[in-house]
Parts: sequence; structure tokens; C-alpha cells
Amino acid sequence: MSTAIDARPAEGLPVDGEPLLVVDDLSTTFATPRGPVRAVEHVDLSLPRGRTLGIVGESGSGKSVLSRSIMGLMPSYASRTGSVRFEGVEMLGADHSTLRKVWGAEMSMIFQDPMTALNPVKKIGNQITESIKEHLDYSSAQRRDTAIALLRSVGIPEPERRLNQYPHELSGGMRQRVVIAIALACGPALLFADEPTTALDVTVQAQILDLIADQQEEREMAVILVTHDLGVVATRADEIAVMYGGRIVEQAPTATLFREMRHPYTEALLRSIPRLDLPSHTRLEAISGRPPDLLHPPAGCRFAARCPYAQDRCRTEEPPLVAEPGGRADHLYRCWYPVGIAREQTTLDTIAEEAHVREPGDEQAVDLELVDDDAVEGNVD
Amino acid sequence: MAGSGTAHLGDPSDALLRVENLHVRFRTGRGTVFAVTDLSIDIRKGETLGLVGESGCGKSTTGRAIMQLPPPTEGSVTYAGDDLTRLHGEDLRRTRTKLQMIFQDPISSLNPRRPVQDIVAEGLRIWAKSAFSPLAIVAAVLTLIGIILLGIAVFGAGIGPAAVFGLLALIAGVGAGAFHLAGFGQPTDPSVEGKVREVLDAVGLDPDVAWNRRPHQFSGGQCQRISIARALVTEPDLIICDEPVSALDVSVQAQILNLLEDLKAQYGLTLVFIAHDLAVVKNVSDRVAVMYLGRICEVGPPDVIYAAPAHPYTRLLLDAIPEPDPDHRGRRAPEQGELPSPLAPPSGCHFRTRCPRADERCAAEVPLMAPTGDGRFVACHHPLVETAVAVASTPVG
Amino acid sequence: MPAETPIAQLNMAIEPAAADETPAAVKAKGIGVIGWVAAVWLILVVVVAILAPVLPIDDPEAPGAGRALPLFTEGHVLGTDSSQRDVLSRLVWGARASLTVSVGAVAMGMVFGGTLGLVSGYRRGRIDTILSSLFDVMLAFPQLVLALSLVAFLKPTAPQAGAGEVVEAAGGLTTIQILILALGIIAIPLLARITRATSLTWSQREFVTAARAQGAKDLRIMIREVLPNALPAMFSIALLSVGIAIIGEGALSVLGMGVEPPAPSWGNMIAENRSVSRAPLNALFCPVIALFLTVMALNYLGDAIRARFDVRESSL
Repeated sequence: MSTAIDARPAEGLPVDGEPLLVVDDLSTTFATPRGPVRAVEHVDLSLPRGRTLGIVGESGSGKSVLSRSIMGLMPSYASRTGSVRFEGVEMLGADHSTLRKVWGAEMSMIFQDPMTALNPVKKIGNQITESIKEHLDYSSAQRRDTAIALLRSVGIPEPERRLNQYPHELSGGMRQRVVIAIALACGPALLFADEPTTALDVTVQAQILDLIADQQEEREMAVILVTHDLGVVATRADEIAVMYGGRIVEQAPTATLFREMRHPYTEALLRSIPRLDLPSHTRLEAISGRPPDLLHPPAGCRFAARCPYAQDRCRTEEPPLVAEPGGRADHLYRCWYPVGIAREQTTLDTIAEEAHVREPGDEQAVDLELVDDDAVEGNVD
Repeated sequence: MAGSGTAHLGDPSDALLRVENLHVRFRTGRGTVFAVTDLSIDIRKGETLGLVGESGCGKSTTGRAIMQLPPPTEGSVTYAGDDLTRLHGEDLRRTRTKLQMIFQDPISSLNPRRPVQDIVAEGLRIWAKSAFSPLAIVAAVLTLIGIILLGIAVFGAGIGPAAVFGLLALIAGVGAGAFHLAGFGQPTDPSVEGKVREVLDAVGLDPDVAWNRRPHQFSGGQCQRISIARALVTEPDLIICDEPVSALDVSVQAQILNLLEDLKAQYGLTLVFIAHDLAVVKNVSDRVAVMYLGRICEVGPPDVIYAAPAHPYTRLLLDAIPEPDPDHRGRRAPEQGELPSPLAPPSGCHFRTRCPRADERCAAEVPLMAPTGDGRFVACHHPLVETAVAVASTPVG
Repeated sequence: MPAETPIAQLNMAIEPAAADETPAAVKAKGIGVIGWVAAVWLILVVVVAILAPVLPIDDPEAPGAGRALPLFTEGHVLGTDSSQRDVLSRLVWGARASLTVSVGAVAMGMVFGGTLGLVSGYRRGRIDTILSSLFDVMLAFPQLVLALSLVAFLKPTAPQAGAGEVVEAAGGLTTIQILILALGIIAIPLLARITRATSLTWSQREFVTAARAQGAKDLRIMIREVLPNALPAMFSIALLSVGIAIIGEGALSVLGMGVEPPAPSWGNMIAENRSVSRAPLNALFCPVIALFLTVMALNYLGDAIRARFDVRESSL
């Protein structure tokens, strides 16, 4: 794409009222020796400034691939089709120098593991100022001041002293704060947080999520929060996209999703997590089987093989991602026989009411299917 | 918190295993790490004891110290009348087969080069009577030839082709002997095969399918099932589950938790369930012990503790958990500072540096366990729930 | 791109994932075309070396008269050297000597170095400290000098003419055995270090803890759990070491301490004919090329075998 970064409109002004990020029919395919793996298919998203989109899924669902596909951080054997417009500029096929101006400055990413995301032999101060040096025309004194301000804003005590420390001198939580400070250094408009707290303790996790929320409010930043933890997105995201087998299977504003979930997978996910408010020894409803092989995806609905409600149609014909006719336009799902319409609605409360203590001999979801040797390479994510 | 004391220990006759005044310290380049400090806990027959806390609280170290892998620095671990810390060699190895472990990482805990039946059968084969196999005969003959030829060389003939051959025979003989002692060349025992089939069946794997496959052909959840089968095969009384589900996806996690509960009932097991996830621990435990920086904060039935935590640290943990419920939005985690270094834990109560209720007494005295009257014990000078008796304490020193 | 920008970090972070997704499959089956070519060459060399006594070739040590013959002479495909000895025959017999020395030395290194490395990596602690220091000391010697001294030490001094008495001490050892001993001692710390490093990582895996929990003795764990996982790395290094040992024998020959002429080894063939101005070129380059191809083949096969047997840990 030849559009130079300078051609885009002044900072913050959307083009024709378009949201900050518009993803249109994005698919990502990995070329493997065993054939193409369609890790992400037909994803449409839009995200205005200041909002948080939660992407939820299990490993292999394509959630991490999706966030990296949007950002353009792809290995050479991946190919993308569709469109990703960021601040009105098409990012798909943009040349490397354009992307480099955007990466770190306009879009940045927080990784799961703060141990590997920081360079162990560089002082923290230098790691923070690196991207400022790259993208902004600051003097070294200004860079230092910015770095100190950043460290203070992410809640690191004695920031002046920390500038001269190395990553190993900090605890895991502190390191993740440094990673966030680096991501925020150039005031990005869009922040990707890929499992930002999975490697951290619960008490630290809460602090880090609060920190991201504060920074988001202060900077009117859009955030894409990728996680496997429904608890994290329930309280942090404005909108949630549930991914399964490389597709978005349900997408809705957070409150709607939890009150009127439509897709059996969302329901199953919510039923399978142990909850604090339910008594001890409550039987969990596990999902049997395992995610589809993306090298040879099934013909119909990707979830059909594991779905308790699946019927013949589900196995032959893939449902489209649509809103319910006459229902909320912002609640999309991909199911022929949705929960709450084709059958009774499940919510957090109904799960709590149905909770029962385990007894020996309860039916047990099993997972007997072997990993096929040929399919091994098919698992991406 | 983080207290000492033994008030919470039940009647020794109910206990399957009793840990008293356990200390674990590691020497590192930067100083001594106080991983576990003066910890006492009893594990009662047939219960699931949950050990919960953040990373670095010593929960895994406690689990391993019970197994004597490695043995604790101080303290006693009493099982079936024996103090495991005083057992050595064969006695320890034999007693320990009644205690088994399941690990967090399903990949790391299975040897990638061995087929499933071999992995599961290992526990039985280790204790099988060593038969006099052809391998042993070969080893003995070669060693003998080697010694004779070398002897002849030394006492006269000098170094020649016979001596060189003797040396080679000796090396080969010793090598074959080592392999014999490692259990190679033993005849297959049909009763072992039957037992392996039985446990594979019990953990929900088809023995015929799984039999000769290697771990990489299984998913994470299935690998965890294999680990459980391996632990079950020696018919243990106690299984220590060290974060058995934290590396798994939520849907698989539920399968494994349900499986563990079923097996516990089926085999009459006692479980120690170590995890950082409070919801998971609550789901499977009969009793929960919350740990912080090497000590126990409170211990009691999960429904009691989770409904009204008595220790400020438990409160902090529970407040920090994100509930999968959008109504909880906007609740902020309290700022609680950082975990102190285990190289230099605070004096008195270990939690005092992050505790909103801490005062001078907390710095001066280690709180002891005191009952709250509902089956729960707490070690705190200023608990959130009234204790039945005033919290006793020991001065620092 | 400057290496340490956050962008670079982003790329770095994506790399491991990329490595997982890419083709474990490329290496998954077989050892590849190059691996097979290397294997065929090595098999050829080994078979020829073993069959040397029965092959219809000239006596490698019988000198003829006259000038050296060039390549493709009738009856002497690779020509003869300046003493009119058939180069092909000397190459075949030389392979026999060179391979015996190098394989024997590496086998010795594997057995002793491997055992010490396995114990050191598995037990850790004091034993490891002592053994590792020992390996380090041995590796600190210049290896060729060490080999030279060992050969000089082990070699019997030349029998006094007429005295008729065989010299005692290490008297009975043949030159080949002495070379195996000398090069084997040098191979021990090399193989021990590699074995120690791999067994150290495998010993920390949880299946080792599980085996201990089940009551397995250390010997059983070392042999059944750790060794099979350490073997591919050991084997691949051993193949490389065979190449190094062949060259090492050559280096000793150049210094006059290798296989004793007139018996041929690749090393002393090169040594005898190294003065290009006087020696016939075919007599120099035939062993050089054979040596080069064999060492290359060993390197490739070592890599291919390691790649082939690198365990696939998971499908997660």
C-alpha cells in the first residue's frame, strides 16, 4: 500500500466518522508443509477510541493470531486477506517503513510474559527511551523526563533509580509495569494486551488491569484485550468477541453477552469454570472432545462435534455470523439453534441454580480422541 | 499472618500425614531463601486439603518437602507412624510409594521417549523382584572374563591382545550390569499389564489405543490423565497435586477436576491440592489452607473462609479475583504494595508490610493459630472475624 | 532495524511461535537427501575399510620401481605414489587405519566421557563440581600438544638393534592402540561436557521427580529416564568427533607421531606427500579429498540425525 503515513488526517480525527480501527473480512492463513492452516477466518471488527474489546478463546482458537494479524506482526509464511484500516489508513499490504512508523508509536502491544519481553542486558531506562528515540524528536533530557513520568504513571516507585536498573532486579509485576510503560511510551492510540496478566499473581493481575484501565481513560486509548479468562473480560471490556476454531462465534456488548448468551460454546465456557460463589464440590460441566483441526476444518459449524445441541444441519452447513432478526443489532452470533431462542436462556444465575455437588458416577465428559500425527502441525496459536 | 502454632492440628489418629514445624531454606548466591517457615498442618484421611497462595508463598515447596524431594531443612513429616525425614535409602523409597505427585506441566512430567504403558508401569516395575535374566548372565560372564584376562596380564603375560580384549570385556560387562540393575532384560509380568490397563481405564483413556503411543501424541489434558494413571498405579494413600490444572484450558480443566474427584471416591484417596486459583481450590477442597510467604494464614472449610475471610490476606486475595460477572465492573483492587523478598521476610507477622490493620504488635510477635469457632483457624493479631480465644503469640526471637 | 526497539521486541516475541508452527514436519520424517548422501558415502567407506583384506587390490606397502604413475593408469586407477605403491590400495588400507583410530577413540570418549557426564549432570552438587573442574582442566591443555605428549609417553622407545629384547612398560601396545588411547583421552572431556549439559536439563524435568517419587534408584533413573533423552545429542557430537579424530590422527602423522609408515593411514599419506613440488599430486589429493568428504559427511549426518531424533514433545 503506497499511502504514506503523512497522508493521513490530523491526529485523532476520524475519516468520515470511521472508528479508530476497522477490520473487514480479515483471514490469516499459515502455509505449512501439510497444507494451509486457516488460523483466523472472516473476522469483522470495529473499535472506536477509548473503548475496550475483549477477545476470548481457548488455546488454538486463533485469538492471539487475530491480534497479531491486525497489528501486522506476522511471520513470513503467513498470508492475510481482507482489510485492516487504522485511523483511516489501510494497514494490510502497507510497506515496512509505514508499519514501523505505526508500530510502537500508534499501536503497541503488551505481551504475556514480562520475562521475555524485556531485554535482560539493557537498562530499563534505555529500553523505554528506545521507541521514543525512534518515533519522536526529543532531546535526551526530554526522553529521560518522559521515561520517569511514564514509570511513575505505571506505579513504579523511585522511577529515577529504576532507570539505571536491569530487568532482573525487578519483580514480575514490576516488570510487567515496565513493559506497559514501554508500550505507552509514544502515546499509542491502540493498545494490544495479549494475555497481559496470565503470568502474574492474582493480586498483581488486578493492579495491572487497573493500571491499563487508568491509562486508557487518561489517553483515550482503544484496547484489545486478548485472554482466556472470562473473569478478566467481564469486568474490563466494553465488548466481547468469543473465538472458536479461528472464527468469531459470538460478539456482543459485555453485559448483553453475559445476560443473553446465544452460542452454545459461550454457554459451555461459562459452565466449565469453577466459581467462587458456588459451594465447594460443585460438579463442573466440562466440554468433551477438543477444538477442530484447522488443517482439515469440519464442514458445518466448527463447534458441532462438541456441541450438546448439535443437529444434522449443524454438521453440514456453517451458520453465518448474524444478529437476531428484531433483536439487538450489536449482538452477533454464529449458531442455527441459539441458546435462549431455540431453548432456555442460560445466565450466570441459572448456572448457580443448577449447581449440584458431585457424586461418583456422574456422567463424565471424556477426551479420548488422539492427536493425529498428521494434525499436529495444524494447531496454531 | 502468617502464623505459627499447632492449635489447628486435629487428633493425630485422624491424620493420614502430619507435618510439624516444617522449615525449608535454600541457600542461593544472594543469600538464604526462607521458603517455608515453621509450618504445621495435618492431612486427614479421605479429605482434600487445598493449599492456596501466590507464587513464592511456599505451597509447592511444602508439597515437595512432604515427599522429601528434597527433604525439609527442619521439622517432621509423620506418615503411618514413621517420620519421613528420618528415613533413608530403601525405607524412604518404599514408604514414599504410598505418596505420589502430579505436576503442573503435562509435557514436562512425562518422558517423551517412553510409550504410555511403560510410563505407567514404571512404578510397578521398579519394585518387581529382579529376576536372573540372560542380561545378568552376560554381564557376569563378561566381567569375569575381563577380570581374569587383566589379572593374567598384570601378573605376567604383560600387555598384549589378551589384555586389551580383557579390558573391553570388563567395560562391556560392567555396562551390561548397570543396565541389568536399571531393570532391563526383565521378563514381562502379565499382572503388571493388567494393573496398567485398569488405571488407564480409570482415568478415561482407552488402554488399547494409548498403549504404545508416546506423550506427544496426546493433548495436554490427556497427558495429565497419563500422569494421574502413573500416580495411581502404585496404589498410593495420598496424592499431592501440584497445580495440576493451571496449564490447561478451562474446558479441559473441568474434566480433570471432575476426574480427580471421581478417582478420590473410587480409590479412597487423600489429596493435597496445590493451586494459585482460589476458585479451583474451593471447588475441590474439603479444607483450605491459605499460605503467604512460607506460613499459613488461615485454614478451614472453604465455604466458611470464602464467605467471610478472617485473615486480611485472604480478604485481599478474594478481592483481587476477577469474577466472570459484568456487575462487578468498576470494583478496584486495593493497592497493597509488593511481596517482600523471601530472602528477608519481615519480622513478626510476614504479612504486616502489606496489611492495612498492622500495628507494632504485628512486627514484634508472630501470631499463633486460633480457632474462630466454625472449624476454621486463623493466625492474625487483628482478624476480621472474632476468634474464640485471644490469639496467642510468641515474641520474635 | 535497531535491535532493541520495542518493535524489535515484538518481532522477537513472535519468533518462538513461528518456530513452533513451522515445519517440524520438514525434519519430521527421515534424515533428508543430504543426510542420505552422507550416509551412503560413510557406509561405502566403512564397508571398503572392513573388506580391505579381501578386496582385489595391490599390497599397499610393496614398493615398485620407477616413477610415480598418474591417475587412471591401467591397473592403478588412482595412480601410484613416488614409491610406486598403488594409491587406491593405500587409500583403502588407510581408511581402515584412520577409521579404527577415530572410531575407537570416540567410542572410548563416549563410554567414559558419557558416563562421567551423565553422573555429573544428574547428581549435580559436589560430584559435578569436581568432575566439571576436571573436564575444564583437560580441555584447557592445547589438544594437539596433549595428544603428542600422550603418544610420546605411551610409545615404546625403539628396540635396541641387536639386543633382541622387547621393551617393557607399555610395550605390548600397537601404534593403533596407542593412538586410540591418546585421542580417546582427549575425546573424554569433550563428550563429557556435552553429556553433562544435556543430562542436566533433562534431570530437572518433572518426570525425573516422578520416578524418584515412585522409588526408583539413581542408576535406574539415569539409564531409563535421562540417558535416552541425552543420547541424540551425544551421538551427534560423537559423529562430529569422529571427523575431528581422523584429522587429529592426520595432524599427528604430519608430526611423525601417527600410524607408522610404511603402513598407510590417510594422515600419513598426506604427511608423506605434502611437499607438492616433489610428490605426485594424485598421491596427495586422493587422501585429502577422501578425508574432506568423510568429515563433511560425518558433520551432515550428525546434524541430520539430531534433527531426526529431536523429540517432538507436544502437539499443544
